[in-house]
Amino acid sequence: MRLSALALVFSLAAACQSGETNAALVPPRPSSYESVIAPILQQRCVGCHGAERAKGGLRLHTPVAIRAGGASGASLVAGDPASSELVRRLHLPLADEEHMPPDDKPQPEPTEIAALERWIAAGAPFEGEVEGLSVPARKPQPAASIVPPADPAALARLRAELVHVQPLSAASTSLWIDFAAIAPRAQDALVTELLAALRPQVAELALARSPVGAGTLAFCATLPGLTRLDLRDTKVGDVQLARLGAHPRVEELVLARTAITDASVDQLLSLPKLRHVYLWGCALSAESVARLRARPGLAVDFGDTPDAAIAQVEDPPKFTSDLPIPDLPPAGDPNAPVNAACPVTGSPINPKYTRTFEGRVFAFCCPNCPGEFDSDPAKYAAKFPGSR
Amino acid sequence: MNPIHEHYLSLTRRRFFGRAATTIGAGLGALSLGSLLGGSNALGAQDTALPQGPHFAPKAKRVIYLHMEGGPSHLDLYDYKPELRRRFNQDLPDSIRKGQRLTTMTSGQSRFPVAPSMFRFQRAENRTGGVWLSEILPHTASVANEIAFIHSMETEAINHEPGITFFQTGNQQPGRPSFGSWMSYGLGSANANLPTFAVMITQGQGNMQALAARFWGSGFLPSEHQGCKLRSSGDPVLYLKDPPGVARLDRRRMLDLVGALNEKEARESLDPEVDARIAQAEMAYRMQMSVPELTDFSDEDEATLALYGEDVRKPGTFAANCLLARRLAERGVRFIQLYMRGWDQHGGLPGEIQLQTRAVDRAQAALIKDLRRRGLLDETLILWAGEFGRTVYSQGTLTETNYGRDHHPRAFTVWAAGGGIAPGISYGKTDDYGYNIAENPVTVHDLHATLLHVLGFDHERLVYRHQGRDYRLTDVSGRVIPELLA
Repeated sequence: MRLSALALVFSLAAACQSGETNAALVPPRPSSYESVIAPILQQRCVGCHGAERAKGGLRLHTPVAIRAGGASGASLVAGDPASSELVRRLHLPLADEEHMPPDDKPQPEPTEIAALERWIAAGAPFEGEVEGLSVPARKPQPAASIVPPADPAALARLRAELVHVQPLSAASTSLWIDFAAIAPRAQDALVTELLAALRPQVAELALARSPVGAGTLAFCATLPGLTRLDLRDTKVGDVQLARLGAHPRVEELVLARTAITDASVDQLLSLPKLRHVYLWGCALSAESVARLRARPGLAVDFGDTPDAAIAQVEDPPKFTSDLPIPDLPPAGDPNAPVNAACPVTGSPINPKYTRTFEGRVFAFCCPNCPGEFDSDPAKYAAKFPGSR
Repeated sequence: MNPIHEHYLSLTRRRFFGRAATTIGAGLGALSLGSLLGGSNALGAQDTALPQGPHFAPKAKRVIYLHMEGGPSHLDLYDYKPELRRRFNQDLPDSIRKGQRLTTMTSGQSRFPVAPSMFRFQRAENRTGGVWLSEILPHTASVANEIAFIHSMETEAINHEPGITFFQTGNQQPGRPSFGSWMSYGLGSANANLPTFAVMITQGQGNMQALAARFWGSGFLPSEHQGCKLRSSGDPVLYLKDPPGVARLDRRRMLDLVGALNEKEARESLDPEVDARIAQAEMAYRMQMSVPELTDFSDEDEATLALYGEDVRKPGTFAANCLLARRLAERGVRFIQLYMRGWDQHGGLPGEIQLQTRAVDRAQAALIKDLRRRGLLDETLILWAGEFGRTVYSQGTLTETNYGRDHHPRAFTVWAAGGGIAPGISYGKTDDYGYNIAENPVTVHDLHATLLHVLGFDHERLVYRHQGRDYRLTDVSGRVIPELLA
């Protein structure tokens, strides 16, 4: 039993890989369903229409499934792309409910849609080659995708030191690393030692509240994929920041409450990709902030964001009604006022104007007094102790 | 199946997947393994397998969820209906109410007189033509550029208990994991010295409903994912201090011994709750050092304290908890849940709601400003929501300056701000009475799906298998609202 269970686990694992294994053994023909169409469907559709899920009753992961269609009928009409449901949905406006893939999912390239149409026009064959069909050109992949996987030993070491490390996403090998848990003891030596084996992977690095200095900044200059660096509440100053050099990838730099001064403006402007810098609490002159802000595409947060302006204030509301206000409840009712004289002015009350405080209803002489009452209800309520 | 066989099977699976899950970004998705395994296979926190991690690159890394317990009146805070002033004390038309169910607190009323808000509204500039806000939220108006107001929120629950449960867990019945627990499960901790999911409570000014600890419970997720409540007076976390006469080294030795016994038990019983127990004991040991520093505000400058207002000096106030939330956020805590009690204004609303807004308005605006200037707002998601809104008709006697409002689940306002959220917008509309949704309804599942999206999760794929089925925070529905995304 134990052995068969183990075998089951491994056969499951093997099944996950089998598609690739077969593909490697028998190279598919270059202009076939298998080499052109199946990969497009796999990447764009099968997440929701495949072996695991069948939204709208539709599966697109195998020829049999494609032929079977879904709840809306046949997914395609061989030889007629224009009448094929699959093609129709691809071309609907993005905002349309029926557009596929859904608007929050990655959309196929026009070249991929063209390949699908050509294949359907040729009769949608699952075997053999289709004239003119080729793997569509893709936009170059972002650099992140060519980052090699991190060294497991280096990751284990980070985690043993209680440093947070996490891939940017499930599909990414780039890392977000946060020293928050051990910030007070994250010295240059420790930071550079822990990260030395992870140079290619570090994309977002948080060192806030740590004692890092020039050594860490010089190390950061050697991180090819670094896009966000958080140095908030550190002792980093102009000399240390200069060690970062003209880093080609850094986009966000958090320098709030550091020792950065006017002398770092040129350093900051030398960062070609910089689009957001936080400098609140730094000793920068208004001129320096203005110089930074003059650069297009660079947001500078200096802690001086103005409050949203009040554009319009409505007049004090006037309530009008054709209906009479019903009589207030008689004394003894929980909704009856507890006072006969206005708590603010001492004048006789008008039951139209009331407030409730701590379960007791107070009536006032005019519409203005409730507002005054609100400023310190406990004080006014105390004038009528215990009356209920 | 024979339980002994099951035991061996589990042991084998555990070893196999436990190894596989420790390699980062490996071809075998850690996500599906996590789901198969049923969560963490922790044997001590340091050996914990990596959490699922987000499906795609997240816009926000953490959440501050400001829950307004009781159901704040959207009509007196956010939903501007000037035309209602001319309908003061008129009966709510049947064409609006449509015979829908009411709570038994007002279903017996002979009349449903329209109670327009007695507060003045003002239009604050934002990025899309401005937003009308009540005069009792002046500080919130000052950060209108950062906020996405959702005026067309709806819920299925009409009472507090199921309403809060629905917002917290995606289901009205108790038993499912809280939003924060899902995030702890999905994202894991970013600071191993602090809880991943922290909860703080502020006592309100008026009518308060019970807050059950299960609102931040982990349901069927392993219990290390439950929220950790930070107390406002005395020790923030109970039983953290070493007992008198016990040195820290002795404590360490004791924990090592207990840990070894627990690990033996975990190997034999394979009960995940033993693993959770081990992880929590280690966490508590580390929290002995990190929590006192966390809750000590003496390193905050005067200007920052002033930003949050005088209340910040009183532990447990909403202002103090907002500052604590910022301190937790900057230390990597993933999910920070604040509860502000006391919005349940069935009577005497105009007076009571001002006491509530005085407690929250300055502090919540300060939180946004403070996070923004520290470079934290862009990666922190803030949600402000009650469990429902309140009725346009008055509960009890209506006068020109006094009224009450009953629970109203059909339309109300919530707001979000920060990482990944479109700043300075309004979404959705209610009808002329603020009673029904006129445009773009947002369900609780839609809200959860959208927030999960910002956090890097496909809400349909963040699942946990329990009693034979995959559970999601969004149950079986939910739609990401693209208009709310930055």
